[in-house]
Amino acid sequence: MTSLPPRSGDAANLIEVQDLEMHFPVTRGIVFQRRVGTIKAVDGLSFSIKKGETLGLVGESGCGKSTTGRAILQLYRPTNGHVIFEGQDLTTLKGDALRKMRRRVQMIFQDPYASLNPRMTVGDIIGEPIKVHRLREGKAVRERVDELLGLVGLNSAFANRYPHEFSGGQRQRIGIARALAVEPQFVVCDEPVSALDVSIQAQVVNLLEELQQKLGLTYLFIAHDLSVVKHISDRVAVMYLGKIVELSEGAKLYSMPLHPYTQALLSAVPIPDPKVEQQRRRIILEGDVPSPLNPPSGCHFHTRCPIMIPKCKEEEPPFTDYGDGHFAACWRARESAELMPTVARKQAEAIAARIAADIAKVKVKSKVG
Amino acid sequence: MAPLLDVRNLETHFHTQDGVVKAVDTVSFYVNRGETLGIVGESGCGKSVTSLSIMRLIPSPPGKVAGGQIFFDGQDLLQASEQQMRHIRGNRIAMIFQDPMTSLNPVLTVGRQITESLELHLKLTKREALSRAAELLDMVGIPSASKRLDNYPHQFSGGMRQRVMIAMAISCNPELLIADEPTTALDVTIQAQILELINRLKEELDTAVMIITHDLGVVAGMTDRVTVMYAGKVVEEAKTAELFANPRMPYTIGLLRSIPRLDDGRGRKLNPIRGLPPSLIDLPQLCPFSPRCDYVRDECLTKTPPLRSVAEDHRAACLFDITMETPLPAQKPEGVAA
Repeated sequence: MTSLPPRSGDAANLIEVQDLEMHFPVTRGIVFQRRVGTIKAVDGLSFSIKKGETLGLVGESGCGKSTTGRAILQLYRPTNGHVIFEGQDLTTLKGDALRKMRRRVQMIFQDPYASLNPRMTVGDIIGEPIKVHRLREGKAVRERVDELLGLVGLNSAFANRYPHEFSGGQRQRIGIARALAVEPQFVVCDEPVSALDVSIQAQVVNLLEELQQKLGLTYLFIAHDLSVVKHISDRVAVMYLGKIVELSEGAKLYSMPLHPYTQALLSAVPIPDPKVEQQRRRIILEGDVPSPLNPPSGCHFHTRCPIMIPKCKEEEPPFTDYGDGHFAACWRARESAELMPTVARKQAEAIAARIAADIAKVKVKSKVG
Repeated sequence: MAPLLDVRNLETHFHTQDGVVKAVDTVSFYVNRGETLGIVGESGCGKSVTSLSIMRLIPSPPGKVAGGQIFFDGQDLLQASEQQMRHIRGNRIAMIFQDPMTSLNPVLTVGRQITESLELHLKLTKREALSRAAELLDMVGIPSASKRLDNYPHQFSGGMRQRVMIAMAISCNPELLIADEPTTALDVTIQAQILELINRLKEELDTAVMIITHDLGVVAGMTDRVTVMYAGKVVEEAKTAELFANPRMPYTIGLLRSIPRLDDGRGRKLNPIRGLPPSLIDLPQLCPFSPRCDYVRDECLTKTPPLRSVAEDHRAACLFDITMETPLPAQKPEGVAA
């Protein structure tokens, strides 16, 4: 695939991702492992994030959004592509240089239960990155840990306790404190609130927003919950089967989605208001996400797309700017907004017809007591 | 007409080393025929234990239904013999569980799992049961249904497994379907498929549905009435439209304010509920929500507020008349919450 030399991009961009690809081999056999296929988890992503901005990355499970986050941080070494952070291509860094860079970019993990070592005290968990990077020595480490605990809204007396003594929301705060311990500029938040209860989610979302303002952080916010992503992001990218299908400034993506997948995704999210819910018509996508081992030809979405045309099967749509940085990869992006409501109406009619037909069938079945 | 399911003062306790956990504490609610009731609450509020108590599936020990009555079609399920329960479970009351990955038996074909209850409850022969199972799979939208009867659960995706679960649940035309977080483990486009399916089947079969969820969006779209649970107690109940338009319990108000909405503009600051849900061991005699409540007053700490009528068909467990419009008291106590 393409391997262009890194372009020097916009100076306002903190991080630039160019043609990022992350492929995993699928092998068979125990001793002699034959390669029988490739999972293209991330298949050619390009985007940039400005300093102080939050880019939301949404998609269903298995679409490659977490892999993207990990490949950017070089937790996986990407198969292809470049990640330019402050003028440096992270994909070419090795050894000490890579370790030094890791101070600048950090990650907050999804599962606050699995991402903290149960045998370490909270103080040790947060203090370890400080010691590894030699940011403080001796007593100063402990002072810094106390400061970080205060920053994320925890009592500094908690430093001597173990993770199991905390609730999910508190653990997520510990994870955030650990990520911030090395004073990063860029933080990948990988589903930071999905494991938390509704009333706790808002606490953590607010904390992330406050920290961003206080410390000037830049976020890549990965989540499957479109409402949370909308709330926190400046711009939003929608992923489907390893590719970004739409990317735009947040409000515009939600009010005027161009890609049929985005439209279906948005219509599927229930809104906590019965009045609104009664008026809404959902676009129900048929079937499941196809396997990334053998993705469909042309546009990856064509197998589920309700407004598919023959061209979609043959040619992959380009990722085109439809004005003001609103990108979409769809052959019918310009007309989709008009076509999709008809799809929703027809679906509603079909469901009503099916109910009528099935009721007649069911009534015949008598129940044996 | 008497309600189909009438739960009165249900108490389910778990005996643990640290003490007795009152997971469900004097909970009452009812479900009418053909109606959809939503039970909302956070993890640990007792909503799943309530549904398991109705099905008499509480593991004992450590659990025990300590009191109350559960009338189903006039019969108290808590007095029913195990044999009578077997006749009800899966036949007249069916359940859809949260996790379709673990609630199907991995070593039996889905055909066998569906036909089991058909042969047992409806006394169908093996052949009749198989053809009925194919019909059911078709009804829940599984393509080429008759071919897939011989497949094992691992050959289905998550959404498809949930459809198999639903096919099993509706196989005997139950009068009451209990759906315990039926879409929590699924992606949003699959969730839309499943919710649409439950709605369609409910209409076709005229089944009453009790849907247990933490997602207020699902409740808004699916239910006729809502019961809100907190710390093992019912804290508010009303018709769905009324509850969302005019919530009267500070917990419900807090929940509605804390969730980001898809139709919100950006920049609205979320108002989280501070603190954590209380431990259910030795809950003192005070309002269980008082440590997290913005409107807390001294009276809240003296007794557990009873569920009282605040409007027509609307009851809330709060001593005061608090609405969405009630201004917040001036001093905002600091807490762990940011």
